Amino acid sequence: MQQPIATALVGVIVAISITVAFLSRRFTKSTSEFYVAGRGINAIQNALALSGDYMSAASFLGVAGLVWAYGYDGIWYAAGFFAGWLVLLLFLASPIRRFGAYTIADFVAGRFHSKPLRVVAMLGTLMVSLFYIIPQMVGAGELLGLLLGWQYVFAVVVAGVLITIYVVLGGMRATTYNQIIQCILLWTAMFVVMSLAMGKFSFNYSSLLGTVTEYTQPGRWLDFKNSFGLIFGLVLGTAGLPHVLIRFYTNPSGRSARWTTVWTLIIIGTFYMMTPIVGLAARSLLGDTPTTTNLVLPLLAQHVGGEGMMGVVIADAFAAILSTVAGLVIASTGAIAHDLFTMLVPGASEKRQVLMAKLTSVGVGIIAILTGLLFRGYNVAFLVGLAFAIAASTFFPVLMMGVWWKGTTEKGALAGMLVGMIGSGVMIATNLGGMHTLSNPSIITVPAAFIVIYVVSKIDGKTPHDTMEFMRKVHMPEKVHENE
Amino acid sequence: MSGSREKETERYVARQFRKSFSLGVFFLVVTLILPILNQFASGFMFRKLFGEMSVTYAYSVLLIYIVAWVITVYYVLRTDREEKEH
Repeated sequence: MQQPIATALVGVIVAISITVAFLSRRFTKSTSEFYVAGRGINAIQNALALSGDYMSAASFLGVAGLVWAYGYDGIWYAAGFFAGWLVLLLFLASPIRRFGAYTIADFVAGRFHSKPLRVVAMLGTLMVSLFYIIPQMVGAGELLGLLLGWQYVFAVVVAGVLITIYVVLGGMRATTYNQIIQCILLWTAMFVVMSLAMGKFSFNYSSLLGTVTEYTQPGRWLDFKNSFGLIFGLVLGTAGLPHVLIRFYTNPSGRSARWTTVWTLIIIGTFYMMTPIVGLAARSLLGDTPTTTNLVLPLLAQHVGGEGMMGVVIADAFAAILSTVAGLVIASTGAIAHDLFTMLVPGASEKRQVLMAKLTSVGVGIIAILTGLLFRGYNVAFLVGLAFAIAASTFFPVLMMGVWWKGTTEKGALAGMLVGMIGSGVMIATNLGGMHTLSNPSIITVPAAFIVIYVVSKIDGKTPHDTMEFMRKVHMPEKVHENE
Repeated sequence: MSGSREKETERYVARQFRKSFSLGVFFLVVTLILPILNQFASGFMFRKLFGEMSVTYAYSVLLIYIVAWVITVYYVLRTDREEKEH
């Protein structure tokens, strides 16, 4: 498929991304600037960036496609992707920001003063990020090949090189500004396509549903057990994704982190409310025409808005991939260049740490390209599910218990993280091997990790000496600390 | 840490946890009960609510979002006020 308008718009997005990175390059002289944009991103900016980071191609193209294919059962994804943010707001956003570190391993290691925990958290971050990067890169290759006629290898390399350039040049600040632009593009495109599609039904939601009544009831895809497991995994997985959690460090205060989550809930909530409309409109207007779920949104855009609108949607899908992978590259870079490097070389100068971060970003970019090429043709939904399941099982229990229960000990945290990480991996592998039918294991592995943390901590009983100082730091308002 | 500061921290954390936990559990129940209701109260959930929109459809594309936004605004305004008063 050759799309001159889409190709031109992809070119515009590339030019904007590089320009933003070039203009932001002076903001990468310190580790604070490189990893957390000097903690100077206000609530609305960070909410837009978080939304851009979170709304991957899976959200932009995938959810509408799943609703087109399975109707109501596809809507679970929209609700699950959204609902996790409230859990983040209520339990983790503000405490994580108040701790004021750079990575999730910093947070866990700082709470328990533990090198083994730092290593496990670093490995967990890399695993989750990698399993999230691979489907994005595979998606980039397949999508741009399908939509723009690009060679798979060319598309993967273009996406990988572009992301690496703008992360290395501009660090978290360039990534943030690019994600803000990409979020606005994604939300606007979804709104325009939805409005044009609803025009075909005289802007009457009920009329639209009346044309596809058999798609508005559950049961076309997921049974009870798997629909419950899916929503459980998505809700808690969101609250454990390292590339999402580290963005809270870029806020200036805990209060700002809370307001960031409020705006994010509004932006992504309105976005996900539009996806069922778009998916069902595609079912009604296109029938079985799309050959894959990823083509549903571009084809609907073409149907309701012509070639120009289709071009906009394709270019925005490219933007969605860029913004998500850039966030993952920053998270992975932090895990290696910050968590590992500062542990191996304590006391390294600021300049050396920034250099290490930039070199690591290049390395992660190369790994992203290579894995994108290596995993061509793999089931991308499986890899995203793996990322969510590992995030929910590895990070969510230890963060919750570490933040809220003073009785949590190092051994309890370590045992819980290992049970969550290994348990979710084993459950997914055995599901693929046909040994059971539970495709979303979080419903078992998350409670198991919580129980293990509690039981081992109770048996161990050796809480860190400064637990109450930690509790005071992450929970009490900033002004209390200023007065002490 | 002095005894009075430790007690103050414990009280503050406990109060914050009660608030977050009760709101979080309420929202998780609202979200996770949907597949259960679809399974065990399908007669009611599949009933038409507005025109062609069934109860379960309105629940999944409207109610979950509205409940989340209401909880969000309530939580953030209350926490801001508590921090100001502390």
